[in-house]
Amino acid sequence: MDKVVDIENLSFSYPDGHQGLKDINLVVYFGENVALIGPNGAGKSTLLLHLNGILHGNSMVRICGLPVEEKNLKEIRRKVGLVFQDPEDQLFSPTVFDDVAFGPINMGYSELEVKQRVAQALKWVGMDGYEQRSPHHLSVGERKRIAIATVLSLNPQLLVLDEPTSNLDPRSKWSLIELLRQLPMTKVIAAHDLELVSALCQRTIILDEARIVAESTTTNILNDIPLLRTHGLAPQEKAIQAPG
Amino acid sequence: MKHSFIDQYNDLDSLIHRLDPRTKLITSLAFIVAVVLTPVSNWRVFAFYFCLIAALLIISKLPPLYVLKRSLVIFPFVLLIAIFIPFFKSGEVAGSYNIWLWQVSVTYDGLLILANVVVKAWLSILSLILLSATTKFTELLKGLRQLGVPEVIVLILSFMYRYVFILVDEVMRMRRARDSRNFGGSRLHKLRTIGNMIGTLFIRSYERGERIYAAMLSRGFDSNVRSLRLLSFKRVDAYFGAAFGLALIASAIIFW
Repeated sequence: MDKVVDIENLSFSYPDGHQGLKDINLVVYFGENVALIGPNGAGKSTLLLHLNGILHGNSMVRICGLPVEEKNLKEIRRKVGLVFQDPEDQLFSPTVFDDVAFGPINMGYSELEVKQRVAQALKWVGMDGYEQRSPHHLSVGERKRIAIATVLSLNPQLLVLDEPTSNLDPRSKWSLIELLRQLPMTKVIAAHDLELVSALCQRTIILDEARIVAESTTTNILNDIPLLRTHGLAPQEKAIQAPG
Repeated sequence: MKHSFIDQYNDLDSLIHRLDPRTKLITSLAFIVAVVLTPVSNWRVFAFYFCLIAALLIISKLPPLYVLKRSLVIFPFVLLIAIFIPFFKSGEVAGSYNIWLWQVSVTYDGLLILANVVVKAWLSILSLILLSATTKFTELLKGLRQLGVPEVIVLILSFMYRYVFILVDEVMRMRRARDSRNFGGSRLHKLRTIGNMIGTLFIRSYERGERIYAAMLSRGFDSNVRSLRLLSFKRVDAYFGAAFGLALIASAIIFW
């Protein structure tokens, strides 16, 4: 099978000396949906930022066989669609059209192709007709969808999502999960939401204190309550008992 | 939270709303230049300018009270700068006062200039209100871009428009959080709290800026700002531009 992501012995320290990642080995194959779970500050977002070269660690990250380095960045960023947790960060343009078109325009596509890609991306997320709206007039669920459309317009091979369901009410959450399920590309999803993980991902990786501490099928991981408990992902025994 | 302090009346439909933003930008600029260049004593010309802008405001269907309120915002700034002119301008003395050790006198010429500065500022702000209240901000940005304003400046303006709402939200949330825990305290203490809030807001905005930049890089941004060209002039723009230009020129010829 083709490796979409290939990381060997990656470590990364922030400028203030804080160790963000330690000895990360990760391979994601074509068509897989991989979940990345772990407590706050475990390094999930840091790892995601390595996948398209926003951050650089001590070893080479390969995307579809292409090393993530300066001369490949443009190609890498076309292949890797990174959706940030907060849509207010992802959506920085005055209109939805401008935001979804931002990537394709930067890639230098023709005006006609940019428009086609924007229309297609908005259709994928079920938001066609929203082109001229302003992001600050949309609901949180709608903003999340537009945020995903902003990377779909580049037709990426790998979709990287940071907490796609945070701040969503259950209805919007499940409709977003359904939307993600229908997108065919390979996905790496960082999440606290274990319902999302079990609904979408075949494989799950637990990250804690900058290291990968467990890696298995989602069913195995989510059924291993002691493991989840050790890493603060399941409640302590006492807490589960229903009150009264 | 929804805010509408920038684009409250942009959805109305009128001749002025339908004009190309470039037409409006250029005519507004021409109007302000004409107002500023008009000699001090030429009151008839100012009356004409007022009629012109008032007519356009009526055509635009903007609520007069809204326009009036908005236009008052300029006065504190103008007065702060211009209030001392009557005291320093030499000429025929209108009144003279003794304040402790100093003798202060006000001159007619000085008063005339003060009135003039106020009128000029007010006419200019009226035309800017007309421009900004009848043009969607996004259209205005496109207009600026196509008039050759550097992309970086247009980008900064568009960020301002996008994030001013989020900053206002953040301030309102912080105020609410402060008020829910506010048990009085000295004035100094309150001031210190406000200082802390401003500091927090700055740090949050700075961090948000970094995240936004990362989001831009992720979508292939390479410090070259690119955009599509999407506006086109209509015939009505030519008519309006020509009529407005003629009106300004005519006022100069007839009244001078």
